Amino acid sequence: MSPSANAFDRMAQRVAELVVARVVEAIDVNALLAKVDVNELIQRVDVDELVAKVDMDQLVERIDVKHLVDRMDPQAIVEKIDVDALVSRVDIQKLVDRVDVNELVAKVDVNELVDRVDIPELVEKVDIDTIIEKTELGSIIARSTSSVVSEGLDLVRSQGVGLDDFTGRWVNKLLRRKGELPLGPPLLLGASGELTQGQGSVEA
Amino acid sequence: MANATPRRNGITRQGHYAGAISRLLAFLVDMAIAWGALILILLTISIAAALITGHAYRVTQFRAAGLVVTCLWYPIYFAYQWGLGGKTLGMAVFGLRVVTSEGRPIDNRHAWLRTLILPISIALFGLGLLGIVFRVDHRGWHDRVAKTCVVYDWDAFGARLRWLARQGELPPGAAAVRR
Repeated sequence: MSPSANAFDRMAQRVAELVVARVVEAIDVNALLAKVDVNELIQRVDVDELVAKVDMDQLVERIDVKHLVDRMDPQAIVEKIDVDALVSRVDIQKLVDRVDVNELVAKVDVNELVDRVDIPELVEKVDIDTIIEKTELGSIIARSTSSVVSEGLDLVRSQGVGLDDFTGRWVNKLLRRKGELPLGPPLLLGASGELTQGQGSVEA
Repeated sequence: MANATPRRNGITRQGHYAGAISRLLAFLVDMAIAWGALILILLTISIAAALITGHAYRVTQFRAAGLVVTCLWYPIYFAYQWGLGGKTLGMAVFGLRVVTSEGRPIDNRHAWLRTLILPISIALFGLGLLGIVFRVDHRGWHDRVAKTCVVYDWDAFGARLRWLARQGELPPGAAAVRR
């Protein structure tokens, strides 16, 4: 190439750089972007090919999962779940069939379970009167323990206690006793009951 | 349902201070038994004496001896039984028992002290017995001196169960009527 040709090329290069610089300065990029139909542009992109080129392992490694989880609101997610619909899709019977009940029961510590039960409270809820009256237990007790002598003794003693209560109430009224009175010797009451009621208020 | 429990219904009386009426009735029963037993003893002695000596004896002929036997017999009757199990026959009938003021079983010392003070409680116009009626713990002089008290000792709850069981054996209508 001749020296004059080289000089021309350099000048052309210089002119082109100046022109391009001026054109770029003149372009309003925002206006240009506004004219671009992004949706149409995206549709032209071959997403599969793009994704295929992405190194997913590297991408995942870059994610701070802990930070991501911290920003999540589990309550909001749970609230969006339709639990009823979810449960209705579960085949409970199938689920139960898969459970090995024997193994489950074998794992249960019955002693610990019993220890947790409040036996006195449980017994207090039992209506012993009804059980005795409405079951065979009643007749068994009656046959095994009932006799003319025991019936007579029960009757005599009950009458005695009734009269004791009657006189006790009147004496307490007469002496204007109020409040809780001792029911018996402390050692005996400690074993069989509590000092909660006075003689005047005890039912017959 | 909870109200059906025996304690809340007040039918578990074991360990509660026994009232005056039960104690009086038990005492009367004891006096009757002791008197009957004394008659039996004197009768046996007179028959034995008649068999041995060949002469018929009447109790009225030996008043002094009879009085001595009587004065010995009653304390023995009460003290022996109280010392043995804390109750006499009459008290057993009414489900009563003598215990110490704390609630422990009594021993022979308590039993004899109580027996010896009891006549004094009765003799002074019954003044010593007023505490049984008017005191909260129903203790007379003999109880206070001997540091004892009388409590209910019968299984009221068992009696209640037996009563209910008998109700269950009756026809439904009859049970309802009796209730």
